[in-house]
Amino acid sequence: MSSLRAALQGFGRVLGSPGLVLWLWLVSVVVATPLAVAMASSIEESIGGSLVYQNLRDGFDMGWYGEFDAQAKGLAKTLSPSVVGAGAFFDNIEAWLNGRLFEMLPALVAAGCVYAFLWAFLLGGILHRYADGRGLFRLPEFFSRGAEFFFRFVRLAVLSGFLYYLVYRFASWLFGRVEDAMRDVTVEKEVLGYVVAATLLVGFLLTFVNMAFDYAKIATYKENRRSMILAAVKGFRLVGGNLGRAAFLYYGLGFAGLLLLGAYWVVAPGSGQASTPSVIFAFLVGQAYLIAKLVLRLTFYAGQIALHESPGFKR
Amino acid sequence: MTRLLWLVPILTASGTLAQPLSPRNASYRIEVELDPEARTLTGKETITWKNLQTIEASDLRIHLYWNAWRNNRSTWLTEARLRTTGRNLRDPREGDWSSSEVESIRLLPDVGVPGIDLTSRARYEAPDDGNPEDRTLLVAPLPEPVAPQEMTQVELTWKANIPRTFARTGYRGKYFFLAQWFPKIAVFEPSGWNAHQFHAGTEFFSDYGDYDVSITVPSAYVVGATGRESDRKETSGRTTYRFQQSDVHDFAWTASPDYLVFEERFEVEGLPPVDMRLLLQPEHLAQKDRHFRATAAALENYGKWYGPYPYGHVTIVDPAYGSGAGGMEYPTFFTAGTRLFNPEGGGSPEGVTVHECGHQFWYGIVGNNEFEHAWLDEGFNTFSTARTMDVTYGPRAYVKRYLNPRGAERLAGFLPVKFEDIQVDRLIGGDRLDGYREDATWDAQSTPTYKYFPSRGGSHSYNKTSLWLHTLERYLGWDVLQKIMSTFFARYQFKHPRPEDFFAVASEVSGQDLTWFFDEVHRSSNDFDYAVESVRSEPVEVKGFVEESGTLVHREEKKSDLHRTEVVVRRRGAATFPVEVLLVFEDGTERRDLWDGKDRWKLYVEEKGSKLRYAAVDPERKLTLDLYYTNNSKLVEPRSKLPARKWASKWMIWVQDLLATFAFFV
Repeated sequence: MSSLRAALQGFGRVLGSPGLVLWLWLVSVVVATPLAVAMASSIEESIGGSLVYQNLRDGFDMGWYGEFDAQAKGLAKTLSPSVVGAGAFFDNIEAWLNGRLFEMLPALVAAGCVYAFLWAFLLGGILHRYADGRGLFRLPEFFSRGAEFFFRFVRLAVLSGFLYYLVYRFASWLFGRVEDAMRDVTVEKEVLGYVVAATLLVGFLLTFVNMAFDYAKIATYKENRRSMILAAVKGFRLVGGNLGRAAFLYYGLGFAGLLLLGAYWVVAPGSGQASTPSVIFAFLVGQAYLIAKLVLRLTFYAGQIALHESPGFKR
Repeated sequence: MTRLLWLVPILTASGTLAQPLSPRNASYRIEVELDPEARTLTGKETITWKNLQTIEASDLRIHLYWNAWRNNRSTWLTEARLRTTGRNLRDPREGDWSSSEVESIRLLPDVGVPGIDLTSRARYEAPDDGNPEDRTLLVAPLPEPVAPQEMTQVELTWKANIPRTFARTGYRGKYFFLAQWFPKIAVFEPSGWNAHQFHAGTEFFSDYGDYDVSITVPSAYVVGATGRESDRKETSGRTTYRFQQSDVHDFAWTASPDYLVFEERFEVEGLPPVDMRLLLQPEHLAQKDRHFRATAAALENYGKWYGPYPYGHVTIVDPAYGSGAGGMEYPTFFTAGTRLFNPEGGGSPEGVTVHECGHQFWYGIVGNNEFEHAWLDEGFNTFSTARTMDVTYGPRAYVKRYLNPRGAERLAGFLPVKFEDIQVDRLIGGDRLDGYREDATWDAQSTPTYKYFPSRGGSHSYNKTSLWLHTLERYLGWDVLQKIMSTFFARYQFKHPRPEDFFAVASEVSGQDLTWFFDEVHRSSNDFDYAVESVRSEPVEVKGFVEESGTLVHREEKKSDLHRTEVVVRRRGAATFPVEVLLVFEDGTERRDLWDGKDRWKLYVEEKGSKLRYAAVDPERKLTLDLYYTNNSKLVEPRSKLPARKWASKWMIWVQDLLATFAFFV
């Protein structure tokens, strides 16, 4: 099976289970909503009865933001003008690439870790759905599969976490060397070239580890593996044995993600919603993008499962 | 002691005798050679110095700024460590260090008086902190003092190691930007020498004079410098450029094989023409016109507001990437600074170009003491930059720069993203209110600049001054403030004004004693914050016991056509300023009062047939120094829910994506 066919088949499987997509999207909404309510409360408290409300209703007010930020504590400190439109996603991609994701506000890191654990719990059900599940999406079945594999996937996450840590350490070392090597370079274009190359390398390492552990999860599920060390080894062996197709599928889908982000950048609403319906509309556009991104993320799993199931895949 | 007559006629670059604009009491003839491989300068200079004061000078004091980076125990580096964690400051490497070694210093012979070698008598002094490791100030005792109105000539030979850029001077690769590079005589004031060591938080102070500088570099290098090029000679692969300039108080230059050179002429009716020369990095070719336009905007606006630019030429330097030389001013010569990608409308490189060109007026022409009163030029110029940017470009868009790799703090922000509909206005982008807010109470502005806490001093020099000038603009009106500043400019051009000089001009021109204002904004570290503390507007009710004809009667009645409004305004900050208080009622009527703002709070009561809609203190925001303006108004019925939900919902999308990013790792 070709990578493209696997991707399409995976995409079909994801679309065939809209309930799962909806359910996973709801999970993110449920986790994020209390945080958003707290943020709304901080903003509301800051505005109080001030006439500044008009500026923030019609657009953004950098003057207000400076005051808010100066007084903000905890979660409120994370509000930034760049949450407008695609900026929110650029911020996260950058934090992911440079590892500063884990240096954010402890409350956010904690929420992120909780969500990650939740995801580890859901993964069993997700893999089951795309590998063996057919018919109506049923939560009890979904949860029972999640519970069955939860601790295995947590152990796998610890292993992958160690590798990600090494990649970030390497990245830090690598950029330090790039900086040293560039000490006498006076052309930004040249420096940018090296930085982009190093960034691509770091991005490649992160995604390669991710790809290998995706296959490790698939192997764990398919072969009901108990040893996560061996599963991780198996993941790398599966990728190594099918490097072209696995990589083409993974990075092809990654490229599709970039196209999706580009499209959202073009259509994303700015800061000018001045009425409740327009605020809701802008929110829904953002949610639509998140759902599309979620579909893409699930297509990684489903496509990789489809590829793994194909006769020509070396196991 | 040599006693010279002020005999040498000074020629301008065009060869004509210029009418002196300044006292020209510290003039230099310098020959310097750059060795780019060894990264050294070898120089010989003659300083002709005239004592303008009424007391004798028993020694000469000479700044050797590059010795600030000859070891990590200098006063500059000790102070710099308080304000930054930059790697080069923590741990400069071999080859990063600099030095300025005076090999000889001697008085030149005069008629009947032999020359005298002063080298062995010279010593380093550290007048501000006694730091024995600091060698940025050389004192050369004279065998005979220089009497008032007499002059003397000294000849120095020196050798300097060029630093990897500190304080915007130094090298990167084959790029050289050389400022504060030659032994420079200090300023002799009525009470003696005003000669400080080099401090991390301050810049420079020197007298006006004539500069005649010959610079020898490999022929492949393009050279730009203070003044006009008057001669060029090439011999065996090396070229000597001669630059001359009168009526300036400093000289800087740059050399690089990479510069592209462009020239345009600034011509605006009512102002003298100026030849603009741009030394541009090839990769910024697309931004050429933006540099010229910003320079022209500064020359035009400053010229019209304050006074014409008198030199007829200016050189704009686009510094090499990573050179650290950007954003600095020198007479007739300044560095801008841009990036490979810099979206139009984002304020860069226009802001820095206007600012540094603007320094030609505030610093170059009006030459205040930057050791002690840096706010006089930095603040005036920040204000003027903000105003120029506003009238020329309007508000700029918010730009966030991405691609900031970890572990390489100097490799940052390669990819800008412009948020078109998020505007940064003059108050935030120009006056830099946000930066000042945090530092407001750290120092009184009247503290000598070199004594400001290093990491906070900039806010007092730049931001606070710009904010209080903006406040004056709104309080007195631009016409009055413009007249104050142009009068100050006219009166103190080519002089060294002190703060009191400006305060006196401000009161004189405005026709009112502004001492109270300068007491608050300059002589204290108090902060401003006025607020509407509470608003209440309810139908008048009579409920309870009232006295009627000497008897207590219980009444409970509602007068629905009458509302009682109570507004409490409050001074939360320590500083005071007269502010207007505005009450706006639902029927559209208003009540305006001027509150002197001195008490800690004030109650306003109004009974009328309409309910209050909102109250505001300083509704036109005249007091731009007010740190928190959100609290300056209050609606009786707050409407914060929609904007709060709007921005929280946008933030929520970011959080959801952040959560998904965390899930990547599982």
